[in-house]
Amino acid sequence: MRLRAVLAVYCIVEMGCAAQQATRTSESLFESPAADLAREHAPDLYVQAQTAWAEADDAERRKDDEAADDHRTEARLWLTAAVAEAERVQLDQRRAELQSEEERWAKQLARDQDACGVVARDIARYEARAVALHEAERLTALSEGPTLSEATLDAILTRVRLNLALAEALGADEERLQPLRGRADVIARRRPHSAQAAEALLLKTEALIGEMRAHWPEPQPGASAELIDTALVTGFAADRAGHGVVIGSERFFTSRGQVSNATVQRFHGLLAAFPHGPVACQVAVPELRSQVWVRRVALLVERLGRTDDPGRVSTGVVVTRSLSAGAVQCTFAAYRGL
Amino acid sequence: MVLAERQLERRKAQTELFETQRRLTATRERAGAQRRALEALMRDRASLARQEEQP
Repeated sequence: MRLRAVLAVYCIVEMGCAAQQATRTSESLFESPAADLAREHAPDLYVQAQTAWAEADDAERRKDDEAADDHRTEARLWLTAAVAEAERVQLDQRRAELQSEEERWAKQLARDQDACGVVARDIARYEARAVALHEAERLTALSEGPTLSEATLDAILTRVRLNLALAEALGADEERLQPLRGRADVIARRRPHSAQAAEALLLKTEALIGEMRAHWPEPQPGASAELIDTALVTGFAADRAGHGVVIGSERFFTSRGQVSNATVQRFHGLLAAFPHGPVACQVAVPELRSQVWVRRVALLVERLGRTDDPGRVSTGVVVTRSLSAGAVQCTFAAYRGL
Repeated sequence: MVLAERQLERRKAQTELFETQRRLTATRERAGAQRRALEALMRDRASLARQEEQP
């Protein structure tokens, strides 16, 4: 009812306006810019207006003034409707343009939101690495001895928590993370004097990161820097070379010539954390004919091969005086130029 | 009646246009703020990368 009333009022108002303009000629009525727009965007209504105007002319010729006035009023109403329709069409076109612009901005917004996430994650990693490097000196003090200083324990736990955060960022689920967090909390509370539990946990977290990295078909950009960082933190020398990242240590053998369990474990930790590609190791020996070194290297090869993927590490010997006897250098070939 | 319907349609189109303009302005402001945040983050990242490269 209310709508009908509104429509009726519109009609009455428009008819009143139209009556006031009754003296307008056909030229001024149909040749205004608004009428041009009406002809373009509302041709059906425009034609109705022209028809009514022609009927008014006919009535005028017949001297039927009343009918002529009615037809002219009708023509004005049709033309007003045509102008309204043309304006509606233009408003709709403008709205479509704005909507398209809005979609462009929304896409940019979504892209920037994603990019912010990526950059924020990078920043978190840089910061984590900065903290880790700060702790590296203390961590490299890890020895095979049975005692563990408070500072070293704190350094290991810091690294463990950073590793867990990184593993989470890489997609590790809560089911995997929670037990490791629980173990870190227990170690932090009990403050053991032995490094064994803390270091085993550190290796577990490196392995978890490695599992996440293994989902990628190849190392991601920045992986070589991460490998170098992790190697340095766990007591290895590390550097980039043209053919990959070279990890070295003079601690694979103890001073009594036995294979160092701790160093091999840490090396296995590195292998697990950086799961891509072959690893070629060379053991520096004073001479090839030395039976002592042949036996030592054989033991080391056997120990290095005790992993899930024994074929991944190949080990050879090299006679050199540039490295001390027993020094080992391993090249992670897949981490070249990253 | 036709005239009134067309005028109501025009009014409706006008209202929708205003609403679209309002949404566009809001989206544009959000996108601008997001772009500024991204630029700031990228500057931070570049700065951290430079720090890391230093011996």
